[in-house]
Amino acid sequence: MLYRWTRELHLYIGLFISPFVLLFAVSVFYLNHAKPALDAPLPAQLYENLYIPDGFDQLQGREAVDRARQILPQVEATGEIGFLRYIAEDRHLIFPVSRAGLETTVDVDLDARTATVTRRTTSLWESLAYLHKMPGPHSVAIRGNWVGTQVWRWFADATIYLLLFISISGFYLWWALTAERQVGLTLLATSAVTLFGLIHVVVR
Amino acid sequence: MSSSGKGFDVWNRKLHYYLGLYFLFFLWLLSTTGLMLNHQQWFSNLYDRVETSYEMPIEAGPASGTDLTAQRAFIRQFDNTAPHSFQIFHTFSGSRFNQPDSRRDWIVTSLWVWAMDALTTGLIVMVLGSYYMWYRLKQRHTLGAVVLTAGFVSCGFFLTRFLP
Repeated sequence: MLYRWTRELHLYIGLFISPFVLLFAVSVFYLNHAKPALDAPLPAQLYENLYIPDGFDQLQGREAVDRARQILPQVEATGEIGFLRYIAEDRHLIFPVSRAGLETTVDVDLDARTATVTRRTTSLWESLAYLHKMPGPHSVAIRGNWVGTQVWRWFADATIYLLLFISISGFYLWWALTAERQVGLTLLATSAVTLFGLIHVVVR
Repeated sequence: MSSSGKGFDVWNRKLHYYLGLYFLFFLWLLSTTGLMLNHQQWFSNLYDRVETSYEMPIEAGPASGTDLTAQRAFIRQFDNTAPHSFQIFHTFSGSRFNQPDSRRDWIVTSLWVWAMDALTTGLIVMVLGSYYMWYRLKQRHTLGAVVLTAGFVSCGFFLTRFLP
């Protein structure tokens, strides 16, 4: 009974997460080996008469990002704000907005209430790499300021947890195949030696 | 079914769990470090490090092309915390894909990248092999197709511009 249920769950959960596993796996080749010539940005667009929330000269972190998000619909941009850069000398606010397929840079003149927006479309490979790295370790305090990133974070976590389940259930299913234990144990031992050998060489 | 077809079935199945077993520890390493990277808030003092500075004499190589007249090296060394060191294995590639001029200059980094390439190739082969094994289970076609479609749709959703 346990074997049967484990096998069914291994099959169906594996099928569900397989596109995510392919995404994470394929993007590794790009992250490890690509030397991309990035596409040139599209011509910049100017937006005028914007409603600009106040307080950018004082606010930081999530509160500042939440206010900057109020500018996004006015400049027809959506996505995750990477960071905020406030330039006190000329009272400009500059921030990148990213999503799979599109990178946008918004340069807001807070006093003139205008924004210059530059967009760059990204290739499928770049998009896969972008998703692979999101949400990532940087700017933790403001990460997940877009609903797309919040949902993706959930799927990325689920992929890992389900992958751990798949690997453990696969281990159990293999262990039930008595005739395959010898070969399997040899592979596990070889794997452990390879991995820990590599780790030892890296950290010594 | 022909004997060659049965033979393919058997070897595809064997390959699936042989690859799974061989890459099991690699997969756990990448899974746990992936979780760490996405949940930095779980850790306190993750990026604390101990700095050591020292200097030592060096020999200037004849073709170095660098002014090494002082023949002294000034070294700043940072010792990371154990969790940080562990986490680095997830991103240890020796070059940045958005910096085309960066190159790997240590054989160990190349070995590690090669291992990661092997892992991802293994995962892709396992996924494709699993599709074939599922296809051979005729009684599970319907539910399997529903689940697989749900996976592709939810994954593809993020690659499109449908999100608001």
